[in-house]
Amino acid sequence: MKLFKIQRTLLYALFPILIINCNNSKSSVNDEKTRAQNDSISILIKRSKNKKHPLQYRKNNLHKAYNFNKNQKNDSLKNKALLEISYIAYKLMDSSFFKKTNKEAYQLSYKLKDYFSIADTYWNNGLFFFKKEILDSAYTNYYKAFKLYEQLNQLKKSGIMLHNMAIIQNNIKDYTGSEILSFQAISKFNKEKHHINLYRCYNNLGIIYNNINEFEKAIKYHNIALKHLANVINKKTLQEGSLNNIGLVHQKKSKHNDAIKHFKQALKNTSLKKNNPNLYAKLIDNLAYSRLLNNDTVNIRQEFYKARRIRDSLKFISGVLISDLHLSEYYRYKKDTIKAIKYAKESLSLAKNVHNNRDHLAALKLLSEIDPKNATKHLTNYLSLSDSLHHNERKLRNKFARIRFETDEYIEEVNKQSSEKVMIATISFSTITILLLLYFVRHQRSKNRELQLETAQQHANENFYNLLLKQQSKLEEGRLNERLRISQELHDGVLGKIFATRMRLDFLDIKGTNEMQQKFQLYLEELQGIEKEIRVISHELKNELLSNKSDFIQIIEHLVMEQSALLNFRYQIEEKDNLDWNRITDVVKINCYRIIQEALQNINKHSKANNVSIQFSISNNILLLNIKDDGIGFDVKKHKTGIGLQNIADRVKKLNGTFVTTSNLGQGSLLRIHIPI
Amino acid sequence: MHKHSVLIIDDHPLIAEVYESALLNTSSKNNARNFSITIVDTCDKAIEKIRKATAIDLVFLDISLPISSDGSFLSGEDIGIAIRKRHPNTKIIVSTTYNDNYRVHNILKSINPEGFLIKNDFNRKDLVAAITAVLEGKPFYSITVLNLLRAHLNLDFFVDKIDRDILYELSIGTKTIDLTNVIPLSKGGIDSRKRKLKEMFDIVNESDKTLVQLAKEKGFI
Repeated sequence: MKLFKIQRTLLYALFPILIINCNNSKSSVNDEKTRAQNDSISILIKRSKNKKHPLQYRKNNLHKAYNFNKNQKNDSLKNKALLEISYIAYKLMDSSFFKKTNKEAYQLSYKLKDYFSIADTYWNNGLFFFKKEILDSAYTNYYKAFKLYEQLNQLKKSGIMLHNMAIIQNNIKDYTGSEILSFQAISKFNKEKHHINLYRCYNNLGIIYNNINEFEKAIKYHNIALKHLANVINKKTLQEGSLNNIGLVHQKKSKHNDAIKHFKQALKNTSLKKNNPNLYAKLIDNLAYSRLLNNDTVNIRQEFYKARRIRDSLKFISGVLISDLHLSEYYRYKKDTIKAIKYAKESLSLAKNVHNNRDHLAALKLLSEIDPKNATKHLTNYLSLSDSLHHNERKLRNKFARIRFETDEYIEEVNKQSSEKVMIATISFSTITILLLLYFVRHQRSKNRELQLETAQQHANENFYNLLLKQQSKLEEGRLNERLRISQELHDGVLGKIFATRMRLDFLDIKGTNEMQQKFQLYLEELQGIEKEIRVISHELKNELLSNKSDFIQIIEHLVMEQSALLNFRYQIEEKDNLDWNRITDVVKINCYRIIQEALQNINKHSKANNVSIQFSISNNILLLNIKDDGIGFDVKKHKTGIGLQNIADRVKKLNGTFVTTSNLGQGSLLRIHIPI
Repeated sequence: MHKHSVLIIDDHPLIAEVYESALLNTSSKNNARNFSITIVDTCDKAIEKIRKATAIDLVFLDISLPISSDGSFLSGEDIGIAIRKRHPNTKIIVSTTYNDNYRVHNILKSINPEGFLIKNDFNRKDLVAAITAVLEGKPFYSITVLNLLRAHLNLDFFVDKIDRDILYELSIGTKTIDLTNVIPLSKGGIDSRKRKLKEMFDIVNESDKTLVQLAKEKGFI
């Protein structure tokens, strides 16, 4: 029964290691203030940590540090400080402050997506609840921390969590569960040879096997624990603790001499009394008790009292009540029933006060043995308490299983969420990428289409010109054919007939006066003259071909004519320098056509011109096109960007030509266009 | 008394009648002549006659005749060539309304007729004189033809058939790109001939139109 208490004293608090970066070497001058604050925070924290200062002073400093830290910007630095403040609050058992700070640390860590720190807050919570003996909450927090560390691949920290959980399961007598967790923790620590942690695990295993009466294994594991401890530099009083535990194993299996030997060995450490008075008292008490069990009662009463005094001075109630239990047994052994009952009852009431159920049970059991009058009552109490404890343990064990399950689910959910987030991010990223690609493809396509359109436009222009040309030449052909026909008709038909008639008249032997004959000859000659005239006409009809204007000029003339019919202006189209239009490409021609069209539209809209003159000439392979009107004119500077002029400028530019506009208000305007050919 | 066999080829019956009258007029003036006259008005009939006849003394040949039914005789010019081939001694009087230099020149070259009359150039007297002259073995050319020949004598450069063809095609408005279809030369060849012609006429930088105008003035077409 005493084992429980001892066990608890052997639970070493394992805390997250907090590293505080007070000085950020990278900080600039502007960060001076922040740095100063960080410094003051670190000083305050140091003060609150110093065990030499009174508790209240330490608390005050911690609160101050917290208030300073609160004003910092939300970064990892602030979070680290907050975590440490929270941990110190736990150490000082400032419950509400701890809860507050740890919660804030959790929220900030969550915000910063700092999963290490989230796990650390769980750990802090676990420690806090464990100290408050709210085992299920402690277990939940350890388990959550464990899961996170596991994911972050933190072997050491996840091992420590397993160990903490193993201790809780040991406490509720779930030895198998505790054993499994311990071994899991050991496997984690083994990878990186964390001797101190391995020591703790093996120590716990030793305690477990002692509890289930497997003494050989218990001693074996305690020895392994001691071996690991040999590698630890700062041993503190752990070795004495282990010796105590081994002694207890021997005590339990009634190897009292071995037990006494181990206790004595532990007590050889003279500084123990000062460094760990609790353990010292415990060793004295256990040694005395073993001697009692070994029927060696010499001076053990003083030893029991000595231990009790030390424990009392440390206000270690659970220790005091164990001393009382041992004293009760001592007095029973000395047959001093009254004193035995008195100490037993005292331990019972103390156990009730501190809710120490196991020692409560031990006290009841002892009382039922030494107080025969109330034996039945004590035994009944013992049984009901034992039953309810057993029941509670059962419940807790089940609860732990549930906690594990629920936490797994919770972690899975978090993972799912984060994987969902990753998925969402991936999907949105790829969607954006696809959209961008689509946009580019579309853009490119529309560009291509534009180019195609431009090409098509050019083709259309050419086709247009060709059509114009074809139409023109058809018209011309019809006209020419008609002329040829008339010419032919005149030449072959009419001329021949007149000729034949004249000749036949000539061959008629006209009898008459001389005068008459002379007149006859005159008429014949006149007829011959008419023939000549007809022949000339016929020839001219044919030869008109040569003096024909070029097709292009005819097209232009047609265009200008239509416009002039609308607007009633007179026009003049001139070709100079024997322009050979065959030398000029269709592209230039069609653009000239369009330019004239555009210019005529301008004249049409604005100029109110009476005369328009269009002049083509050529010199040094440059085609000159002048379009002149006598309209109202315009301000060249102002209207430079008018759509009509802009279109002309664009076309000229396309042909690598130049283009000059001269105009004055009221004096008409002149467009001079030079196009290289 | 020798009887002259005469073939009149003209699609105008009235004109044929005129020649007949002229011949009769000659014979009545000079009783020594006697004519046996045949008149045909198509190429086909003319060819038939030429092939069948053993000897023809005189032919009146019109140039503008409808094309023969088999398409091998395009005009009187081809008939004239055929007569020259078949009956080398036959005297031919070409009588035509054509008076453009190109055509006249071509006829002079291909048929080399004894008489060359441009209708409308002559009257009864001229016609009778022409017949008489030709029958007597003297050539007789109308004034227009004589003027043309004189103009050519004045030229100190040579313009051959292909040059003339090119000039002619240009004058009737044949496009440069279509020239290769009617002239048996490549485009390069045609261009170089055109350039040479322009050099001869001293109009290197001028258009084809100018060339045609000048060629016309000079009597090549």
